[in-house]
Amino acid sequence: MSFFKKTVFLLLPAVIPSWRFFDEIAPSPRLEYAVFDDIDEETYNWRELQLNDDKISIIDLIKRLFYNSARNHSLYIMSLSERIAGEDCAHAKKEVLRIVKLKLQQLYGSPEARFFRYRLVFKLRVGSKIERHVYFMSGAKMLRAECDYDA
Amino acid sequence: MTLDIALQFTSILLGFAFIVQSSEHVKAEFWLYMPRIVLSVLLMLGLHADIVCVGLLISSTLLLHRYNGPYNGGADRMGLLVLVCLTLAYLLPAAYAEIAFGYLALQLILSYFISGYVKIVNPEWRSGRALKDVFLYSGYPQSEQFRALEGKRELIFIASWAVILFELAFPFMLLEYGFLIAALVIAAFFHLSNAIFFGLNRFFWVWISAYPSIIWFYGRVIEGGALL
Repeated sequence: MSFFKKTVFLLLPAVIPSWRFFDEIAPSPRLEYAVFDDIDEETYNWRELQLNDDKISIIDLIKRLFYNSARNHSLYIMSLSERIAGEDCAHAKKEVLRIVKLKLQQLYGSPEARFFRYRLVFKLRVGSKIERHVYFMSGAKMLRAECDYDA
Repeated sequence: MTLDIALQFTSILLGFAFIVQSSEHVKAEFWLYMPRIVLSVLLMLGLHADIVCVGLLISSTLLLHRYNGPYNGGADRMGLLVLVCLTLAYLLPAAYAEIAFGYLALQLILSYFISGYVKIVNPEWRSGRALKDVFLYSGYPQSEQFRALEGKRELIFIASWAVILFELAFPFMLLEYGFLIAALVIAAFFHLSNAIFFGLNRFFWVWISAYPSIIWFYGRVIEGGALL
């Protein structure tokens, strides 16, 4: 797609919006990761990438009205996750991998032989229950910064 | 409110909304966001607003390509809609400028009315279960303390219907200036509550940046200029 065509394609939903906010409560994505040392590892200790605060003080709520970087980043990850489940897969997967890797390097550094996987889980209502469905799981990837090896 | 004054208010509010958004990214992506902050300050100051708006449109286009869509969904799309209408209103001759700014007012009305309509036709919204599910398992609640509100059955039911009825009633507030101002105040508090519970702070700033358009629209179209 040419730059011009893509620009029109990206601009149109803003200029002619649908405004169907929350018309249905769609399955809700969660991004989870597991870090491990052995490439042949088969059981993983999955953790959520973006954890909510337990409680937010009134002062912090007021501050977040003006600066809410972490929260908006979480909303962006949710949006990317929904795109992975939709049609925009390649860009969203690449962006999610970049975000997960950056976050894990902040948490664990960049050791030589450490790996991670990430997966996309959707929470949804099925009858009276809330269920979790794994939609996508990445291959094993090296945590080391300069290497994008996908095992 | 005259068109010029409405455009100035919109410029100030939109410029501020863009600064709030850009401040979150400027450290990591300086060359993408710093020009946007500078342009937003110029927009707030009213300096060469037409050229500045074109610059902000270029900046917004670059951001759309950077994220392959909006970074922050509906809020970024609304920001872009306000910017497109504002740019056209500054660039076009008066009659067309009014059409562009009137389009923004119309979209603002639709943003509430259609949101209300799609909720009232959904039985899950009417029963309160949709809003309960937003708190129970969606990724939106900003903290676990807010997620616990899913258990407040009566509160959730009343809040669901309050939102539905307010959104559906919004267009009718144009019948009387006092009603319109009251509706905009309530709508601002609605967006504020979404910012508090769900962390949707960008919606708050962007939506109120469109409010001058509807106040101008009321004076120009509904009262035929009596409020000028």
